[in-house]
Amino acid sequence: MRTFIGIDLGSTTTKAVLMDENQAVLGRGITNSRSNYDVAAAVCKQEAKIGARFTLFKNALGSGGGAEILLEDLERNFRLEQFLSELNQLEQTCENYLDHPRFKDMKSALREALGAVFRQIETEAPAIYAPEADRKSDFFRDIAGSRFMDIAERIGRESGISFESLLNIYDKSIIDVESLVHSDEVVSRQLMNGLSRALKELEGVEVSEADAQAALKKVIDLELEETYVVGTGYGRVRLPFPKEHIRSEILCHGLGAHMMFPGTRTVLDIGGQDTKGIQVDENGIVVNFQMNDRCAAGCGRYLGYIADEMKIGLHELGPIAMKATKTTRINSTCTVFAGAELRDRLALGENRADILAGLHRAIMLRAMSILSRSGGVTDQFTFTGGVAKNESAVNELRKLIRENYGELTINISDESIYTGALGGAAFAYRAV
Amino acid sequence: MTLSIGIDVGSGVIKTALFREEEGNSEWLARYDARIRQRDAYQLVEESIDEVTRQAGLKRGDIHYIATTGEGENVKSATGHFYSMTTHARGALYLNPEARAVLDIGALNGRAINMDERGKVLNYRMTSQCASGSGQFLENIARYLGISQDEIGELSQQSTNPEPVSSICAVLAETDVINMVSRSIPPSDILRGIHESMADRLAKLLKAIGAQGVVMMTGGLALDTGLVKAMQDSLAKHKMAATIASHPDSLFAGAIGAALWGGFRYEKLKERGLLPKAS
Amino acid sequence: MSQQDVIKSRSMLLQKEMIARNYDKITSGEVKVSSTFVPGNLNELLMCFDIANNLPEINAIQNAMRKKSGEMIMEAERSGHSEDVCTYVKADIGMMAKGNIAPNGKPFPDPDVLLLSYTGCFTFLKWFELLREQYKCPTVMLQVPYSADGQPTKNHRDYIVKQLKEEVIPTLEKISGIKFDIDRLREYLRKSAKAEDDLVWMLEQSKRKPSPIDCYFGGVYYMGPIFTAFRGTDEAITYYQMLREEIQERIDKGLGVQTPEGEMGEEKYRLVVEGPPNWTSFREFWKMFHEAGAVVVASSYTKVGGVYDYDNFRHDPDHPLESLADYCLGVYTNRNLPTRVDMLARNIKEYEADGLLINSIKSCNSFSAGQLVLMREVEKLTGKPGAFVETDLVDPRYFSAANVKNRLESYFQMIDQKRRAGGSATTLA
Repeated sequence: MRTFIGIDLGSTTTKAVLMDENQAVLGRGITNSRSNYDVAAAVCKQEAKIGARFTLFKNALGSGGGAEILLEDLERNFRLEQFLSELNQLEQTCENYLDHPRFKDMKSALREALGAVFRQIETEAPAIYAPEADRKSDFFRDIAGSRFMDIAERIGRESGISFESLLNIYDKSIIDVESLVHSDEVVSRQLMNGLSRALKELEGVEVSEADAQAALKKVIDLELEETYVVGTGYGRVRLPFPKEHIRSEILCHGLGAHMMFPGTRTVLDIGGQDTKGIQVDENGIVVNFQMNDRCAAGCGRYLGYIADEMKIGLHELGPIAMKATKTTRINSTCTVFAGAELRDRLALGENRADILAGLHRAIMLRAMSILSRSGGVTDQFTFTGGVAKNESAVNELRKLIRENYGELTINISDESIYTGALGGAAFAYRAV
Repeated sequence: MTLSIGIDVGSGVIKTALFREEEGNSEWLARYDARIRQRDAYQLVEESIDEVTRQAGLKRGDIHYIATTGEGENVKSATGHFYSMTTHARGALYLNPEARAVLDIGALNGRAINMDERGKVLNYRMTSQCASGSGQFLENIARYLGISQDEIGELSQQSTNPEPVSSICAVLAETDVINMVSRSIPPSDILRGIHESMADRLAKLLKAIGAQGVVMMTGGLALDTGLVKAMQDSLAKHKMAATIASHPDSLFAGAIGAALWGGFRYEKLKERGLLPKAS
Repeated sequence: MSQQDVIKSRSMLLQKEMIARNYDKITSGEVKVSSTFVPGNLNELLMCFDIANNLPEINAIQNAMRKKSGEMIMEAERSGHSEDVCTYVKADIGMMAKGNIAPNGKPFPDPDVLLLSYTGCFTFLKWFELLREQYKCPTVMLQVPYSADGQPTKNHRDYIVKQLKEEVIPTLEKISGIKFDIDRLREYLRKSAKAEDDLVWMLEQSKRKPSPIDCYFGGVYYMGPIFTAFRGTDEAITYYQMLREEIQERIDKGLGVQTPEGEMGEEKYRLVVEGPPNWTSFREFWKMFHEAGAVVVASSYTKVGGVYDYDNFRHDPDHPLESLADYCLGVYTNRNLPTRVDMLARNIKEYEADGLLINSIKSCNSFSAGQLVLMREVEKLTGKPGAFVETDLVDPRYFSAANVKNRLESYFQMIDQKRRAGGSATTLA
């Protein structure tokens, strides 16, 4: 079938959205950005195709008869398959790296320790992908990395091998494994294996094994033709596309927001390194925009710095800030200084949640300034980008919008991180 | 005989050193470094104390003094806390008796410290807070470039055409690098560019305190051969009468200094009969 | 960036010589020297006293183009100037701290007089206070009232003429030992007007499609002689005649704009630009336009020294002092916002431009104040989209190429979309 793909190569993550001929979104993919843009684009494109195959399989199964349960289990088990296969590659890569002359005296001890680490992660894997299991990230690097470190530290201590050497081997190897793009054959195998696993553990599903396998096989065999691909985002210049396939992220975010919420007139996008205030007309065409410049306060990285400063994960910031009883007034506008102010206030015994709420307000105040410079906020207002997932940031933004512009409709989609890629896909559709 | 432990709580790594002091001789018995990685730092401190005592075949009760430095003011088990400035100076002197100045590059800022031959701090200067000269920044960049930490130094030294990092903001410096990649600038030139901009800033600090003679680099970045080389080039460029030195154990300078000062303070208290009664 | 050889036309080579000769004259030690600023300067009057004209802003620009301004600015910051201070000032202060060496390698002499003939920029006042402190030389301040109603009034004009007669001229007589001769001034003004005619002709050629010239990046070169130390000289007349011939030749051949990167090819976008250029990455900035096929057909920066085309001003030998007064009053940044809006909107219409692009300068309040309002008003009047980029004059740290390029590309694509009048309405995915 003919498909239209938008790829948004951002500074932290790379996203892809795949549409069919009716502009229906079939699949989305996301991966960590890296300096090899071709790989980043290929990985998230493959992820979007996997997503599309799930959608098509779901359509084939129809509803009722426990199809939803089967689908959910297939997805979980497919992810587990994917994880195990990447883990296996990681182990192979680590093994090969042991041939490096620097390890010649300790090769066998290291091999043994590594083996023990990987067996342990393998043992834990099904639990990581169990139903209801809470994963902080879906990226292999994050899951495997945090498990590897914890286990390697313990095993290193028990066996007297320095944790740093193990970490070093991991650091080297993960880079190679991250850059592997799974071929269609590998993905097909993982899908079929995932289905076998899912069918084994299922109860209350009326779909027969043979039917499910035949349906999945059919979906796997369907060719997803890349009819037109549009690239956008920071790395767009280096994407392996001809120039006419490139669009600016401002236009893509404007159109993407319009695709999600056709009534949108103002869009705020807070990405990793930049913040954009965009005004669009009734067709999603950009009529005005402003971006931050020379200063990163008001961007996603600001929160990243704060998380680093507090030694917690980025996703933990919002929930902690939501526990605030009052909003501390943060005076520093600079990202780095805000980190210092945070430390000082903590040292003075101020409440962590209140300070964090203040920091969320501070970043939103900066965003408000960019918005007002782009021409203000008119109904409907749409908030997109990675920061739209942070409930405290959203909370502060709602307050500020109400204070400054009154009661407006504020749209936030769960898929807001894909807005730019969605706009790209829509441009791809229009280009044909 | 005095047994003392020094703990340097950094923002990324906790460094611990155990020393035995006997008739003016300091013997380094054990060491341990633990990456914090989003874990509870205070719990890691306790684990580190256990680890070094275990390595030395001792028990906690054998230790006379536990000294913290860095961000370790609030460690429960600590006997006392010393400022980073004094511990890094003392540690640098232990690693290199010729050292007369210290360049400590931490997570958020760099410090240049002048000292005398006994490790007494004479004067110091800090960079204004900027994360673009920190280990964290380099780590982020390396990850983005798809290279491992230990390759940074070597790659940087292969650079033929360093690319200056222009942004004056740490976060935008990352953006800068991302853009360099999209302009196909090779990683070696990017890294060398970062090293040079860091080195220039640090050289100005050294100039400001009037550093002369051997300058010892301490902290985790002292092991980055690319930065060490850029520092040496920068001092030559600024025509300064100082030379840069590093040491394989530079990472532990703060912990060493804390242990030595802790042992010294214990001796002094003992002489004056001011030691608290053993409970 | 690979510096391929830029093809220099005859007029460019001539201008280069003129500038070099002026620096040689200033640093020769044989003439009296005044320091003065570009906007509304009194070059013809200074010539009446054989005083050479040294312009600190131009020195800052020269240093920026030679990639030397960054170090100078840091030098000034070390001596306590805040990062928010105008970077022209800091580049000048830094240059002094570094030995005050002119582009020809010789040290600048201490000025014999500081002549302030435009007070619409308050920074100039402060700048000269610093210089007065440094050089302890006589200072003349000509106060130029702000044109709050958009047009110079008789009152304003009389006030300036009075100051010229009672303060400026007597001081310059004292410093130079030369008696003021009004007929000599008339002669210079006659020459000014001649060059100004050619200049206005040149400015208006960008109404053609394709435009043979770029009126922002190219414009700053074309304006050089008239805005600096050459207005009123024969050299300037020769220069503008030569320029006119060159442009005419391009028109006859049907050629578009030539940039340092070579012939630009198809003219895809026509813009009006507001705000000064960035000098530290001048070529890189222009290249972004070159690659996109964007031509600047009119810019407010070519009016920074004085405005000739909008209300058809020429220096007038029959009313010498009054016309000096009108020149000072008419400077672009001395006019109220509605007048500037009108100027830009008229440019967009008359030059058939796609829209207004603003280069907002971090450290120039004189230009930056009110720019957003300006953009919105011009958008309203013309129905054409506006956009904003942010850079600085001569501080290399504030030119973030990726950001600038990102915004420019977005702007050009926005214009494309507008031209296609919105494309197809979308159905919900």
